Amino acid sequence: MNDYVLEMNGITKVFPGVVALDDVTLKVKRGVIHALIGENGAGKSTLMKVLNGVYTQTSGSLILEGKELELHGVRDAQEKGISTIFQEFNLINSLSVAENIFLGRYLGKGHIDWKKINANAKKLIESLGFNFDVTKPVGRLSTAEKQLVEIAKALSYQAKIIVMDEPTSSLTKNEIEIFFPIIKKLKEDGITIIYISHKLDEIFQICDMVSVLRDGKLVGESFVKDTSREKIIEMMVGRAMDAEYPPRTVKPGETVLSVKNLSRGSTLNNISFDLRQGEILGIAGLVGAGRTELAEAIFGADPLDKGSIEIYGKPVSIRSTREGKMNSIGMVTEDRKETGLVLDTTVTKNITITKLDAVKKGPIIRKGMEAKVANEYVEKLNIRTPSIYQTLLNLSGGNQQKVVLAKWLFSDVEIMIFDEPTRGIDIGAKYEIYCLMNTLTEQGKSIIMISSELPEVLSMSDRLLVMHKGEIKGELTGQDMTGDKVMELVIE
Amino acid sequence: MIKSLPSRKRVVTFIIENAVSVFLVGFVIFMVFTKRSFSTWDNIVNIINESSIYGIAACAMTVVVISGEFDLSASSIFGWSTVLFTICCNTIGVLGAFIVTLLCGALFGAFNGFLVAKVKMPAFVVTLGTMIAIRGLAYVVTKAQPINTNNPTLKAISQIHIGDISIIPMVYLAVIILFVWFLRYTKFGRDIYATGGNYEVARLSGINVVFSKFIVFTMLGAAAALAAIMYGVRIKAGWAPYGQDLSLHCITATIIGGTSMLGGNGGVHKTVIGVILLAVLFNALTLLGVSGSMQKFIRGLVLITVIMLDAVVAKRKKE
Amino acid sequence: MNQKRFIDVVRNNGIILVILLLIIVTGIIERNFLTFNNLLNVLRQVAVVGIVACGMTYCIIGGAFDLSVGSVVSLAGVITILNINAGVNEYIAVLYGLMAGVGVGVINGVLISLIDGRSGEAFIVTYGMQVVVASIALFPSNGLFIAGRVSEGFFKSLGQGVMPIIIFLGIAAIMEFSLKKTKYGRVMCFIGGNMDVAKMSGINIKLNRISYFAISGLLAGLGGVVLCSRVTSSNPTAGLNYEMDVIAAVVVGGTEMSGGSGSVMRTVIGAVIMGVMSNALNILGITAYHQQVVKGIIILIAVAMDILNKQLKLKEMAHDKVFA
Repeated sequence: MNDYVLEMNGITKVFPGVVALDDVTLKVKRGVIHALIGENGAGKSTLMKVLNGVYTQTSGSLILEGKELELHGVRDAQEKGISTIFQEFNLINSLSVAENIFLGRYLGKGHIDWKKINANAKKLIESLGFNFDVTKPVGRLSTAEKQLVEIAKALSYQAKIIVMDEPTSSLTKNEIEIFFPIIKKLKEDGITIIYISHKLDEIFQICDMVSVLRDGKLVGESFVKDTSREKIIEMMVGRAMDAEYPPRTVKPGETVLSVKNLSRGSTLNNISFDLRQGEILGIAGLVGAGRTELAEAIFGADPLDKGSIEIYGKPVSIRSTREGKMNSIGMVTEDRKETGLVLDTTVTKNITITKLDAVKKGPIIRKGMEAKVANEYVEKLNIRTPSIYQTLLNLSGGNQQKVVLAKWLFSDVEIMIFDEPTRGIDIGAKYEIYCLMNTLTEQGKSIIMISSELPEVLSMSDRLLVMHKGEIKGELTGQDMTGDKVMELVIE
Repeated sequence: MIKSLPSRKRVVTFIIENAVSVFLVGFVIFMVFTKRSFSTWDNIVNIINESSIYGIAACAMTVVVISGEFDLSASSIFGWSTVLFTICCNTIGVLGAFIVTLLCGALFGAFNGFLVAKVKMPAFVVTLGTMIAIRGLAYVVTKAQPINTNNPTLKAISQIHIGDISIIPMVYLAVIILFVWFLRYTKFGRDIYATGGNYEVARLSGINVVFSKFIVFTMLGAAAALAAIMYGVRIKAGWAPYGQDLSLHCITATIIGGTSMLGGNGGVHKTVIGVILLAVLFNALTLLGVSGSMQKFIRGLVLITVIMLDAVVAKRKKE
Repeated sequence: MNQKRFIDVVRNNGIILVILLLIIVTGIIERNFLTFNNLLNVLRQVAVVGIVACGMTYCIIGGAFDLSVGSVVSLAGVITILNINAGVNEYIAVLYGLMAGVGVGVINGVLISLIDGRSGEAFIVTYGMQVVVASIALFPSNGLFIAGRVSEGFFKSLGQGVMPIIIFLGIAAIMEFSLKKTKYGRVMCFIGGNMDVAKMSGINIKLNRISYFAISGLLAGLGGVVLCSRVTSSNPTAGLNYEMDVIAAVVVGGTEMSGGSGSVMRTVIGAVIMGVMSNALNILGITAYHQQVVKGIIILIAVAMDILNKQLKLKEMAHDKVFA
């Protein structure tokens, strides 16, 4: 028996028109924490889906403990010893902790034995060093507790390998400090962990091996102790770090937006800040810190309960997105598929929707005027589409995202909120979007940028607000804008 | 102050969630004290008998709602089944009629289930289409005339009783026990909760979600047929328009009981209470001399109210 | 390419082609069927269903559903006739009928937008409303037929001769124009296509959605008025099962149940085809009850073909995806 628990040999995955994975060979030793990193779109998630049976590779083989492996779906992978913990957990909120752990494979003969299920679930949770009511519905648990349930589920399958996708992205610093010992303990018990993350600090803290993916290829592999931050970054981006973000050029002017004592339900509490003309104001924080909720309250999608908003010094009331737009606020939402674009309609219609008044004469929408607008933005933003009448389903993520930007550029609003503007798009398109943000601020527009990618907000913002649990914990400027300072502010 | 907010919110949510039940319980107490004929033993027996028939279908409707769907065609399957059962009683005997009617109901349900689960058509369109077609079929077969049966075995069955309770509530009780057991203690039952709770997660967890959605409609078809058979036992007749409000009644009872339209939670034991509350309400209205069309009006109003409250509660809980 | 286009046409219009075949066969069997007079007669008969179906088309494109239209047809007729019998000016009486329709529509719309209801919830709320409104229509006459004391004039002219056809086609033309050419129509397609996207584009979702139900209610009211003008009386259950004919017209026309796209003109075609089919079945001696079964099945087939078609297209699209 060799010392590799898992070998992925020459994995290639081709989708119509795209090679998502190109001959990736990855060997994982038993009982290590093996980091897998790469930019968005590098192929991490495709590789993960091959590993958990969602996709079948086009060519190449998977070998688990010396035996060739053929996977049919997530459940099959779990049963064969590979469990995956997804970022947005595979749990059913209305069902109990115990039932979620044993979902789809109930104990007992012909008649479900709830006593046994609950006892076993309790045992699993206790083996991780915790103790809570396993009959509680999962919907009432915190994110950290849900993660424990997922780990318990993996253990119940006697997992040999647990794949964790960005496990700390929604955990607080305290929770992370509890979480790391758990995975170290799993490692001691001989379980191998494939740790997908782009937080380099964590990799240096707990991982043994690191493999780097870029553009669907494996570009580097090393022991963590033998490598450095800079080397990993260089492997990830394929070029030196300084070209990653364009320099900021604009000096912020007078205040355009002023938020005072804004509160909403239990998600936002007493938030005040100013946004100045030509400024990019970053908002950092964990997933669930209330950043998107804040943006939605300002834009009017989910109006505030208490507090006030002033634009150019005048108090305004924004009770709906329509009033938000009338007050010159636009919002590029974090999920373009769900809230950004109607995907089965054309590029043109998606761009002009924010300001149909500008493309009509009398009551009639003029096709010619619409086409002119669409062509203008397709050219300006370098949107790669065969035609302005193409449905968006046929465009890549980066080009779809540019259409979302185009629709708000066309609406000609002064204040733009960008919620995760570069999520899931390739690095080239990212750079184009950063440049565009610079151009916009040069033209006098002001931007609020929400991002979970710390390097991005740190590099692009003029000023940075850090949010946690619905409150603003602090404001960072100049030299203080570092990852460490942000994390310090997110301590409970 | 801030700390107490979520709990106050939870209290308000709880009140909204149970508003209709609380109102109905209050109404019952009011009736007990004001209307003597209401709390007599005869009337209670009457309420039990009345509610048992559609209660049988309501149990199965609850399972459909737990799976995240709903079904309008149950009322037509009921109407059709009264016709089929009566015809078969007159020709092949009670046992044959029982089997044929039940199978036919299951078959119609399976057809709904196939279109929803496999073809992935929206349930409301599917069950609207079958509602129209099956009702039409019942009219075609009977030429819109009611039909009667004098089958002696059926008569004998209808006279079985323990104390004042006839066979119908006994069958209802058996159905309740069967469904409670099915939902709580069988793999298929739990799979239905998982499917309604989160379709994608259930699918990825290796649960046969298509089968789950298919089977709930099939069970409802069979249950609607069984309810119709019980109706046949009681009145020994079949007619196409029978049971027109059945679907509406069943959905209302399910939601009043506390099973959410969102799917994934609730249970048949809750629906039993919803069924009783609704039966008591309409019994009381009849005793108070409220007209048929006024009762219909109230019926629609109750459905709208419970759907609205259910949606509001779901929205509040999500936050 | 040409062959592909032919297949596309067959796929997109399958149900219409089948029904056309039936119509041709009937035409061959029965000489009187395909005459101008008979077709005009059919058109007159479908006018009421057609008017109501135009409103339903807006609802469905806007991502909702209105099951209360049949009851509104009854209620509007009852109100109009009662007022005319009471000696109210006939213009005002008609206005009352229409207002009843708008009122029900607005209530539907407000309730549904309060809970941000999708088509499933809209379906049940309007189902409840169907029951409520149907019973209200029964109150005045205890469910009995009301004969109208109608003299020649505005009200009577609404249902006579080619007037219903003119109203039907006129409304359809205006609605098709608004749908395809104006901001209102574009916004409707966005709301039906993806409500959240529309909301996050700064569109007033609630007001727009209420308007779809209001229009649906208004046209159901108009349908009721025209219907009772034609028969100069009102029947409190006149609109029973109307929603079935209306939905059949919309889906046979080819507007997708999922919302976001569709066409009023196609609904007109759907209504006419359903009318002609009904007429053909009558001529072939098939009873109304049989026809009910046929209509239920036609709705199922039309929607099933729609969905299977869409799945097929998505598959083809994934295959053609070059710009990923």
